[in-house]
Amino acid sequence: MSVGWERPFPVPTDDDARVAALHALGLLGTAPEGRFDRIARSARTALQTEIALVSLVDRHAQEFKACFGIEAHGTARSESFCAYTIMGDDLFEVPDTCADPIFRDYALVTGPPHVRSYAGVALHGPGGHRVGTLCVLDTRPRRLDDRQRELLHDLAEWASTELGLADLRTAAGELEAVRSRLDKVLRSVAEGICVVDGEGLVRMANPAAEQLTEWSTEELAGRPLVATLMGQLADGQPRVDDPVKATLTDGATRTGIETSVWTRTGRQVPVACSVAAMVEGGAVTGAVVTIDDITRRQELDRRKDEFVSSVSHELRTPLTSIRGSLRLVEAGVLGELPAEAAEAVAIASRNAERLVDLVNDILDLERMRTGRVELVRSDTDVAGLVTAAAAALGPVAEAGGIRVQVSCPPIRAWVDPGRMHQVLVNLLSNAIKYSPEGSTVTVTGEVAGDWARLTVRDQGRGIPADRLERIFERFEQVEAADSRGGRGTGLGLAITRHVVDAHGGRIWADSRPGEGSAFTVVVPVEPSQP
Amino acid sequence: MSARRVVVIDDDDDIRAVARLALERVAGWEVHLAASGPEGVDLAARVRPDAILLDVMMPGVDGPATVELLRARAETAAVPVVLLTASTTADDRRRLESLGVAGLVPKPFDPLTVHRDVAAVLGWT
Repeated sequence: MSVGWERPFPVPTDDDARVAALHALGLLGTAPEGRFDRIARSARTALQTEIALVSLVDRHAQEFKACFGIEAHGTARSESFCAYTIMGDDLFEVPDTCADPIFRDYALVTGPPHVRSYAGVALHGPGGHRVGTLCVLDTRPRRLDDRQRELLHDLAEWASTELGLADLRTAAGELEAVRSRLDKVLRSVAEGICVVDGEGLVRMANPAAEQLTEWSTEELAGRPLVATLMGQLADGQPRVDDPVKATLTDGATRTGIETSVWTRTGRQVPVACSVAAMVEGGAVTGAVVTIDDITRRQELDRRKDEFVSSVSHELRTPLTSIRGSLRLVEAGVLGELPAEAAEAVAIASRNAERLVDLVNDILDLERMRTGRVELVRSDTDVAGLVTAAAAALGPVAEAGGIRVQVSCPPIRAWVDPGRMHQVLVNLLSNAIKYSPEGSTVTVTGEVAGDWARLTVRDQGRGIPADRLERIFERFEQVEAADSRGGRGTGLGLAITRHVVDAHGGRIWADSRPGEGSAFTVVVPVEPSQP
Repeated sequence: MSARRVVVIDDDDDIRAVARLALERVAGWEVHLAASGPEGVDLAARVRPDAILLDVMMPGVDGPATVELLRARAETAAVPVVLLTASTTADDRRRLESLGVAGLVPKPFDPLTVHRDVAAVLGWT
């Protein structure tokens, strides 16, 4: 055979996929295995041939997974009888190689072991591809009879089954690899992760969860997650809601749940949780619960709040003397000022007022955020509060050409009148601030069941839907207000929401851009039962 | 309203100065200033004011402690005290009112109207 010349051989149309399927089996280049040896040995014995092989036909070569009666462990594909066998499912037979125009000068024929006859059946691998053969070869010409052909087919079927098992083993190995990767991920994440089943019972907990809760996975397994770890709220009261049960029921993901985990030794750890449903075939079969220790974050928040609070206190004293001095100068108590000096003093005075408002709002909000504000509740004439708030802002509204319309029947509610006045003034001054000239701001009151409901509506530009919730956060302003009433501190709505929350009520905003906004407050009418 | 004589006790120099301007120029009262509780007690014992305006938050001897000093001294025991306080919580107010003072005036005060608040607390006409 001259160098560079290769004997042609037939190539099936699916050869790429076939080769890929063969490689996927993971058998190429592996040691002999008893399960294939047994089949080849059976073929040799039953068919009384000198040679029997389980051959795997790769792109350029064939490799003998099992071989009896031959020294070689494989040949080039171009020197292989099996290259023809894998072209179909029928038994491929060469009864006399020397009489065959194709095979008579094959290396195995012209050299040792001087093959004179061949019979082989294709083996099927993943996807049904013919990845190899079971074949018998002899040094004398021969033709298999029907019984022998049937036997070779049966043995080939067996070998194919063994290939399938190899396939399964590979799949199992891959699954194991995936599982091991997942396990590494679960072990390395800082958040505690628990998996619960459809009953909310713990199935798995990662090391971070074990460390946080002081429970081991084995101990946690089978216990109800919420009752075991989160049975009590931060104040020690028993928990009534169950976010895990809720997600198992509705399949919805819940995030940012701030609560407490009570560890095995009774330590309380502030955490942020999220619950995501595991869905199989459209049914919720369990949930993944992540538990993040927020001790440090809370500590930072606390320090930040303390800092803001002390800075504000420190600002207050100098501001008091600045404002006081300016008031005295502005009022002419200390003598008349030239017109331009009076204007400069007025500017200084106005901005001193703004700073005082800001500092007061920061301190007020700070006290409310830390729960240091107690409500002084009494049986209050709510309609009177509405009228008083409208009257207080009358001059501002009038200056902007805005009509304030009040419609409130007599309502009495168990509220802190000072704080509710603050709420109404905040909402009304916002409404006036963001109203176009000539428009109307309406305040309506009504009693709905056990609730007093107050709505302040304007005809301004409205609030985009994605801002309706955020405007209640600190320093969130939708847009620059018109000059009416000056710029706010950006804290009014945050304070307002805290006041309403402290009353056990609720506040929200509705708006359609271009059609104005409505802020609605509901507060309980009756004192709540202790 | 006849010219009243008051002692203002506050640790902040500028606030004392504003208080003096407010009460002298706006209200026409006679104003004496002290920068600390003990200094204020001595001053009050000397000038015998009609009332003492006393800051609550002061380093060292604070407002409530100064009230005790005033009560303990014969010359000042009967002088009505008005506390200047930034506290707004009901608890704080109750605690301060229980000290046996004439009343509270919120801080920061408006120099143009503070004399009216003080007069109202003291029942001055």
